[in-house]
Amino acid sequence: MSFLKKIEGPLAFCSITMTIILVSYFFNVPTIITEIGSTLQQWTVVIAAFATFLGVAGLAITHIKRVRRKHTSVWPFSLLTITTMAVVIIVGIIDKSSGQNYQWLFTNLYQPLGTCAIAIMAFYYLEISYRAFRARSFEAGCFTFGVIFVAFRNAPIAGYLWKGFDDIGTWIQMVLSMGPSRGIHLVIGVGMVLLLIRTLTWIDRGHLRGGG
Amino acid sequence: MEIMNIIITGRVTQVILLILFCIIAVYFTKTLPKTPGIRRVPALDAIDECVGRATEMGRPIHISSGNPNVIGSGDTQTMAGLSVLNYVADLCASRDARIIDTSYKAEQQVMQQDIIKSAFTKHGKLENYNPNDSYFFSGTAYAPGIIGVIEDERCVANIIIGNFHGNFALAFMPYAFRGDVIQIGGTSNVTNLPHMAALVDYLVIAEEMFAMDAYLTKDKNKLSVLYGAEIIKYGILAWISIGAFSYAFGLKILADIIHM
Repeated sequence: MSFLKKIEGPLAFCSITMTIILVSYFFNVPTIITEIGSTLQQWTVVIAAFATFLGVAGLAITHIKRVRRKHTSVWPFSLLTITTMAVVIIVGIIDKSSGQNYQWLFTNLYQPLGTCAIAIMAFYYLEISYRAFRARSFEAGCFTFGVIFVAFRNAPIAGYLWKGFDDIGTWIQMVLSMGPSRGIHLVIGVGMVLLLIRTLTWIDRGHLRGGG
Repeated sequence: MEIMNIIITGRVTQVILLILFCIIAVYFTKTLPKTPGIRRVPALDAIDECVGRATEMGRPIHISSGNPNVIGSGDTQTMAGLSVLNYVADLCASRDARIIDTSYKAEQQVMQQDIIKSAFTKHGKLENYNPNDSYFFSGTAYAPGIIGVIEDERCVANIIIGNFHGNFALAFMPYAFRGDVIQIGGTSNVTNLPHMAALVDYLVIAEEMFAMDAYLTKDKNKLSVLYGAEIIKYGILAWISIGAFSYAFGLKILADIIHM
């Protein structure tokens, strides 16, 4: 079992899984390999559930430690986190996620708090928009110029003011913006294949426990 | 043509390209006599500066690998983000700088904690590792949570490289144009790139994300694979250019090859 504790264990598992899935995707292989490939892909759902469980356990351990040690001034928040987590889990288990009580928690606690957090950011949006749209250089000027047309294109009033806003805004979005966007997509694809090869050949292992 | 029957129709070009990719990558890994050079990426050079500044000022660095899909699409970006975390944690451990990590998903927190702990263990400074420097902010609390941590802990740098959705670029906002917090951001999500470009001091853009590990570690094998990928990339660009021109003149052979 010591093999599983070493970094080579997960790396080997990763390589074998990737190879099976790649082979079953590209080649007309015996049904057994195709079935193994599709089963492995279905396992991602199970693994995701385990990962979530691991995450919840890790989170609980971290916050319980903080509460027990009364870590600085943040420990009451840790207590609140653990309590909230426990309440939501218990209600979810008893009432199911579609249950009335669970939905009440979601609608009356989670959603308002989330909206509140986003609302706070609106002031930052204003400040940054003001700073970003000030043309301080040639590039910033081009940016501002383009943004004005695209923003007006999406504003209903712009069509009444001048039809050119719509035409120029559409051209900027569909021609000027689309070309670089596709170029970026292309190099991202190449980069992903590159990462796949490096992971498959164990050259890249930094994402696993520091690669060591 | 029997060999073509082995490959599923419509995926022939894909598999040939993938195999070609692998052969070129392995070829350069084996044959390049010395480590290939790589152009400067200011964002990655700035990481050293951030850690140095953190050590000198005795203030922490904040790092996060964005909104991950540890399992699912976008996971390659998360892997790239975790590789950077690995490098930053290693630097922080060696230079006695404090590192604070935040996560969007609980499982991400476990992974980040493990990487940071491993870095401190590697340098024999496990006593410097503090598990309380790891924060979890779910959902819409992510961006405000990061802002709160950076303000409370007076972080000198904000490094967020990984997968980004929705409004997460907001986490960079308060420190854009302020100057006291160095911001390094990176993502491959095209919808979020403009926000980041407007807000951060140093941007890791698109494919640079997947080359970060090679750039930072200067490992010969990783750089050799990168070198091979560059050649492939120029080949693809040539294909696109010739294909576009030939298609304009009614020749569809290159487009047909793609669909084989």
